[in-house]
Amino acid sequence: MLPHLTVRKEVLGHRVAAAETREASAGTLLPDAAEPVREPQAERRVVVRAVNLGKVFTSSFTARKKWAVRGLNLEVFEKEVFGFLGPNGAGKTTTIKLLLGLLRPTYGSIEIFGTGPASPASRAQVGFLPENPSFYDYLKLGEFLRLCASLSGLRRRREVERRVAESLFVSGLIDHEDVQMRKFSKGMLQRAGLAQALVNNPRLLILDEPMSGLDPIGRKEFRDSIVRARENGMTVFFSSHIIADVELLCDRVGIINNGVLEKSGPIGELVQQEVRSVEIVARDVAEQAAVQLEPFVEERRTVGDAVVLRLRDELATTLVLGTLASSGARILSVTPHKETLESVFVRQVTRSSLSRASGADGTLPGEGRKKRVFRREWSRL
Amino acid sequence: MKVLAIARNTFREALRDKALYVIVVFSLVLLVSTRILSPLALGEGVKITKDVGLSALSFFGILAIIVMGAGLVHKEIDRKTILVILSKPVARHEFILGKFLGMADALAALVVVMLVTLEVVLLLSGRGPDLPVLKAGFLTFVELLVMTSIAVLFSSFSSTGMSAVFTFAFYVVGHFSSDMLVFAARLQSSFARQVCQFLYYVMPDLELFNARAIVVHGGDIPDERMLAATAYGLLYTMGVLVLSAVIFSRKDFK
Repeated sequence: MLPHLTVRKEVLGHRVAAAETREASAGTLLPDAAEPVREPQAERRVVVRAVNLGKVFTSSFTARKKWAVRGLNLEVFEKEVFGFLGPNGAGKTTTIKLLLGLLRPTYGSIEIFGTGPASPASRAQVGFLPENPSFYDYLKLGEFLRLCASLSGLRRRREVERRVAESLFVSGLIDHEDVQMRKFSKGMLQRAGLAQALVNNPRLLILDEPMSGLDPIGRKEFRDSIVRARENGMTVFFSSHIIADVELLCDRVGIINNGVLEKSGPIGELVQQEVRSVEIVARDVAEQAAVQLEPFVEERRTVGDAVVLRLRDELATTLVLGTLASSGARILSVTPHKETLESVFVRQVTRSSLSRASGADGTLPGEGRKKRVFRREWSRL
Repeated sequence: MKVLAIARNTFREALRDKALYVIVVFSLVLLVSTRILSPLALGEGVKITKDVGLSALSFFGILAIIVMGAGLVHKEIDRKTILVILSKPVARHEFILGKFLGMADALAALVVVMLVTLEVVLLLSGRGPDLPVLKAGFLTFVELLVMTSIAVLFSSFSSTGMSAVFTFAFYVVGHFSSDMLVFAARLQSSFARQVCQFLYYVMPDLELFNARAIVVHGGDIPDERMLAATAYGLLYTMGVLVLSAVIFSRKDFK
């Protein structure tokens, strides 16, 4: 009936990349990022819990206070991939450092596997890859991984060797064990970082901007590693400002902006799944058919010798396609448009920036109240 | 176990640092040169060798501490390697202790190499082996431990350059701190007297570890002096390390 019909892959090219990632992961099919196979949340164990977390940095010279994180509530469940999305300087790294006990919270509480970050025991089952990691460049990779293994509490030599070999294998650096790390490229350093994070076979993997600065191949390899980690039963928490990566990999997403967690939940909940519009590209459309279809078409334009029709909803599509086909038109493509995480992200970040600009500024609670009252009174005058 | 792993890594870093070798080579050249120059010393050659050898131990030891020890903790913060270490189940005080022990290890290696060379030189000139020289060398090592702990303390909250300056200042003042008590006794104002006394007790009394004058002239260091100086040095070191650990455990790593 429709010989030239090609249904374009939804949204953008990265969906195709998603399919590749799944193929690469040892032939196992991943649940779709948008529709994760999840148990009911109530029964799932919480791995990371942050309640009303806040962090203020005080400048040592001017004593000016700046909120890095404000009133953040966060829950990460066992065996899920949680994406922490936010623009640069939003407070992603600060939150991660708070979780790991590298920073002390100004207020609020954190639990990792039920233990506070002040206790080193909370990090026993955690692997962490910092942003732009740098390691001891005088060490060979093997020496470094052995050091990390001992610091993670592995005692027996055989166990250390086994874990080091395994993490070298997983990170694809098995041939570089005896190379000094000063000779590593950026991509290799990132993989070395992954190897050290995996050396204690952690149950929770925290990755800070793992894909930034990597080339496309490096990014794909890293995505595969995250998928593999999750298949091995690890919980993965990673921050990123690359939306495509988050959309591909994550079960749940948290969007942070200016230190505030604006939204969090499964991608499926954040992004409206229904098709918002459908675009049909056809050639040789008879004038009569065009007139007949007018009530269903929201926008019509001509590109070269093809006609692009934008329909308001999915329901009209079958009807329009049927009419076009029977009138002898050649249909080139049909593209459903859904809302993307990117549009949710951009909307959220812009909205909160706007609301900040119109009054709710980044001052301490109470500190800005006088200023706001004054401003309100002033505007009344 | 974790402390030892950090110590081993710090030791390895020191061994792979060219600065340590430069220091060792310089001090050995200095030591051997005293023998070459001994005909000029009118029969006092051995005394000069002992004096220069033991002084070099203290001087090059403190140089090693300033070059390598002053950045001991701060360099890790600067290069962000600290994020990798402290994100493992490692307590902050374990890190401080490990860093200290690693540096102490490297200094011990330096002291052993220099003392062995000194003894060999003395043997070759027919005046060895000299046990008091070894005892004086040990006291210098305890002094270096005290200075290492001070370097770790400063390094845990200030930059490498600043902590090098502070450490050196402590070294200089530490050698004159007993004068502070003498000075205090002559002061009129009781407040100034108390300040001087306070400074004396806070600053390390490094002259306690200086037994060169006795050893050079062929005397032996009394056991009580050895014991008292060692105990004082170790207690002072422990106190400074506890303080470093407390400061370090409150630190934020931005």
